Amino acid sequence: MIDVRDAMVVYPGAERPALDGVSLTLSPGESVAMLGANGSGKSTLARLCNALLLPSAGTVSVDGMDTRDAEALWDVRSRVGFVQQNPENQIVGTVAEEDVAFGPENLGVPAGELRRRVDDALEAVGLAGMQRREPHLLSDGQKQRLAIAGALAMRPAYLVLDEPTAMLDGTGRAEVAAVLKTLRDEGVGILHITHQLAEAADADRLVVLSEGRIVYEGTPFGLMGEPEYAGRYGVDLPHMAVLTAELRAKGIDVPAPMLDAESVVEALWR
Amino acid sequence: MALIARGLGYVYGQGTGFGIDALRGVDFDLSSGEMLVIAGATGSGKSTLLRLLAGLLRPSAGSVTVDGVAPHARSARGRVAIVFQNPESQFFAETVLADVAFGPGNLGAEDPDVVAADALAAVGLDPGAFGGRSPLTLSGGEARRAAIAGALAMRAPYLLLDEPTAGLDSRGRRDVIAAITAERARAGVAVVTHDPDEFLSDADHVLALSDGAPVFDGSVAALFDAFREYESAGLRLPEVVRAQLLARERGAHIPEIGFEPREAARVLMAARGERR
Amino acid sequence: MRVPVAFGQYVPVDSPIHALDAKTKMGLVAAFTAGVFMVDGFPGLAVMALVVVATVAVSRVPWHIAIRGVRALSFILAFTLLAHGLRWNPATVTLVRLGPLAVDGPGLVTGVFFAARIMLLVVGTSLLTLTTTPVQLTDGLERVMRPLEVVRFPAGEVAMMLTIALRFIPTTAAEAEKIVIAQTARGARFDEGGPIRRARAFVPVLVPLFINLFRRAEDLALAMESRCYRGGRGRTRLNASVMRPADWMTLAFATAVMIAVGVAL
Repeated sequence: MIDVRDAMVVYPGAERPALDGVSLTLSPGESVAMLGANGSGKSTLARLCNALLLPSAGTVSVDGMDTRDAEALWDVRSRVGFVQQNPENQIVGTVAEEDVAFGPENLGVPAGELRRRVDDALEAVGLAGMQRREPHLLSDGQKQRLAIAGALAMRPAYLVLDEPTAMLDGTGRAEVAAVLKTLRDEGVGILHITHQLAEAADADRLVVLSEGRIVYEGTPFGLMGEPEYAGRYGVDLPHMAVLTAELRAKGIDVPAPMLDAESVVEALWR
Repeated sequence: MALIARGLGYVYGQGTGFGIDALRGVDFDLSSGEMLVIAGATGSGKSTLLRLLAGLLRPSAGSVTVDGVAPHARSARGRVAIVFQNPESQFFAETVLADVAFGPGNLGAEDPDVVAADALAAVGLDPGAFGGRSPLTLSGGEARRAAIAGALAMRAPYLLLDEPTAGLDSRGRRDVIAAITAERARAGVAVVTHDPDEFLSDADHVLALSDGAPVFDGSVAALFDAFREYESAGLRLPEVVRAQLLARERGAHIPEIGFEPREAARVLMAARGERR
Repeated sequence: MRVPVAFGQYVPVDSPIHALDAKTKMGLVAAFTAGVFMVDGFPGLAVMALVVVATVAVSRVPWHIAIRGVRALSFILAFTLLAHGLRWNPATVTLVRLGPLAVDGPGLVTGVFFAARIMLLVVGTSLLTLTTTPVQLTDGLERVMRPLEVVRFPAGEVAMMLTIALRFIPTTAAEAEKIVIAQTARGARFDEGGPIRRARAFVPVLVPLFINLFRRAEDLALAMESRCYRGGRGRTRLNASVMRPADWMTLAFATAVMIAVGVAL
């Protein structure tokens, strides 16, 4: 389990803490979505999870290892995969397979096992057969999946993704979402930071950050039922969630927010 | 007076034997005060079209004219302004004002700083507060608007924008959309996007591209009538709009489509009541 | 704006030379360079020229690409010839005289010798990069530099730096092109005025290009740390380069030939 307890982060020279007493857990096989406006502390929290950043106060532990423990640093980082927003800037290798191999190479994984891990990771993100492809010839969605494969090759128990779809188009977003869903089902714990609530709809749990504090923790659909509350913290509800809330208010039987047009029309003319 | 293209086509690497057919058979009309949405997935030819219209590429087939002259002609200089994807990654000056003044300065404007200040105000950035700041200190939405101001400052009668809201949070998006739709009072505006939601309600005209060829070209109302064909080309309308179109397909009487979710709920309820 | 194809860029064909390990080829280049410097007469150079012609033929690198480096050096070659061949007011007999300027026979011969030596070196050594991919080259370089780690030379880190530089060349070129187009759209002109004005016109391209490179570097550093990069020590390699028997044989044979030719001729 990733266990963040009362974490506080103050950047030098900042007026207020970037994180102000945040507690959060992530278990293997669980997917947690995190929303919040720019500057709410989302990226700071993500960086705490794999010891890229250490808390000024409070603790962060990964499977019982304190991230402040220098001895455990590489164990922590190999257990928590980290994927960033810009797909271009996190690819190290000159061809796909060498990029995926980068993590396990650093861990000293021997050659035979290394080949197996690389091929498995590429397969898991749907890039099987693209071993020798040069990164600049991949689409943005493929690049981001390659970045995920690079994290997976370290065989992590958790993946932390900081707005992995912000620079992708609809196709790329759908590709990444499908990969994350499969990984969750295979037992990887996933922390997905996004600024689109619609992308968080499949998550087991939703956390909303505002000015360094957690202001909502619950199910994604729970928040969709509260448009005013969401708006106060800079979260835009998907238009379909607003639409279904309106319909329910007018007496139509829509128990949960529906995000696709077909279901809504079905409910209206049942 | 308009930005017009007829039978426009473009082949990358023409004559090399490895030519890639990026665009073919596109007609395009943009007059002052109009807003045009160009929809299409990545690789559909949208960005190529913008470059052709701005005179940065020469067509392989067909023609482009800006108020009657070719866009790369000297007399057309400064008539078409273009905002590329992630324009904030092109800041180079020490202050926001100096960066916005770059375009008008190049075009020989008498007082580029005054024009730049006007452009900043037009996108909702107070020139007094923002003009003297370094562009690198702006937030995502502010930076995007400052970059758009850099194009507005050219005072071109035609403004083209490539994915102007991509990567912004909801507040940043709202601010940028407001700045762009306001520009329609002064210029013809064409917005390229793979996500036409945000501009659809303000659009006069939609041009949809798939694999470099037009799959739809007409008014928003006509687009709604042909939405199945549009979707079969791999494009998608906003779900809120789709719900009303699906209801219409089932025979519900929906004279006017609502773009806002609350309006859409009202439209759907009314149609349901009418049929019962 | 396109990045010009540099001379010495990899030619992707299959040949026995391509199949050799990068380290072998580095060894061959070293032996060849030593050989060329050891021979002190035209017979020796002729043998070396034969070696170069035969190697280029085996490597299947097209001739016009193989000799591209010579063209790039034509100025230096001409200078070498003239520096040795021309004399100002010589006392001795000379071939041709043009006022005080004279062409000196023996000097010219020396000039031709040195110019030929430079040409052979350029064509011979450029075969290394023409037949080896940048990745193989950096890998090979890392292995060759490894003994230097004893004197605290960071061989692994230097190789990693080169790999990353190679990785980001296409990305940076594409980005430069994008920025040039964007600034052109804002009325910037890169083709007007004298050299100083033209150079200044590139400020609006270079500044954002560098800012973006620094941003990239920050992101990349985070990505590398997240993936447990801690320097070259203890790293394994997916595609470790291995010297096969054929490599050792080639290296041994070539070194023997070079020493023999160098000593004898």
